[in-house]
Amino acid sequence: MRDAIITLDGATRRFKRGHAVITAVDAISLAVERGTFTAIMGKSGSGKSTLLHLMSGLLTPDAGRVELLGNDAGQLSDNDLTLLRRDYIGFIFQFFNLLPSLTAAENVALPLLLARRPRGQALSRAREMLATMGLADRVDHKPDELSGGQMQRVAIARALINDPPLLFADEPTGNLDSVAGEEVLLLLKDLQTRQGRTIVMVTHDAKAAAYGDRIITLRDGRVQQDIATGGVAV
Amino acid sequence: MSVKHGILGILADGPRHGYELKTQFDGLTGGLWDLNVGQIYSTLERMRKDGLVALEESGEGADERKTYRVTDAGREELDGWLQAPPLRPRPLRDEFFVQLGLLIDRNRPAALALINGVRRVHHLRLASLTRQKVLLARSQERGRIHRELLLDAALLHVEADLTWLDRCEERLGALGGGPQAERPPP
Repeated sequence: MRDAIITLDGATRRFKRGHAVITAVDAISLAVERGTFTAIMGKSGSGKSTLLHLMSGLLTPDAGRVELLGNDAGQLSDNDLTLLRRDYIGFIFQFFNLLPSLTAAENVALPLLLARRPRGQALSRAREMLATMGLADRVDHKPDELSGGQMQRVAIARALINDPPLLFADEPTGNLDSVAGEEVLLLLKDLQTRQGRTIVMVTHDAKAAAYGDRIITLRDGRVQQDIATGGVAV
Repeated sequence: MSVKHGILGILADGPRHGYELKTQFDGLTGGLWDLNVGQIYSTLERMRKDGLVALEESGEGADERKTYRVTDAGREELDGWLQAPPLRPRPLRDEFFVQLGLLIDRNRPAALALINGVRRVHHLRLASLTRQKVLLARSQERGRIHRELLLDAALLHVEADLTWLDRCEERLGALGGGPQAERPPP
């Protein structure tokens, strides 16, 4: 692989369900190259969320290896993994995960505030970030005063505040209407093609996956199909 | 059929050469309708015989020199057509339907492999349509809304095809019920 930002080598993750053991991710090997947009598809229960968590260091493998940004994720302490995620990885979720009592700017600034950066500096950086998302007039609004598409753009601004090279999106359009969903997908595409970030997105929507330049379909914890769409150069 | 009516609609704005008609027809269909200039000329010739279009005096000679205009009968035909919802919008005719029919009882593994192959083709088609959509979204092109809607139509149809392929696969009995449960380690 030319320049892999994530490498899985026989990565396996099991869960107990009652007395049974479920192999959610079953010896998957794959590499994600820097600057690419990978979509992971599959029905619920296919293992796609577990795979995303393994790829992003939220879970470590029971067997096999996950190399994340040059680190063997299985060998890192919980604290080191947390720092790795904080400094190099952005997360975007289906339900936005914004704090309802904070304004848009405060939500976006939160990762900086948690890292004990000066409040004024953090907030002005957050406002700038929101302006680039077309939300300059929404910085002092609380989440419940925003539309779904606006909330997701706030969440993306928050994911970008530390300027991470790697972004994970878990069903980012799952809670949006089709117009707002497309705006979010276009934004993610821009983050890849214009800013060179690496994007890994889980989705069950084939139309959303079509924004990726690679589509991996999972079934029963294994890769069923791995399609290069040849779509990097947009 | 609507090549004829598309031509009438374009000519309603003023006389055109065959090649201009082809370019504008492509614009109307977002380039999603494969039509060559020969088909335009043959359709025009038929329409001329039916009295729907007429040749302009100046443009006689070879096909590419000819300029056509719409006749009164042509306008009437166009107005009627524009108000009539098409009754047979899209024939369900696909090479794969025949392949599936031949394989389904004779060679089920081959049918399943073919389903995967077709799924790949559909994902590539979705990606290609999406690229056009991304480019369109970044441009300020005129007639953007119509083109966007056409791309949406194509995307949603391919999505329906993918959903149907999942159904085929399920019915062929290949679909396991989620992750495999194993015995707990002793």
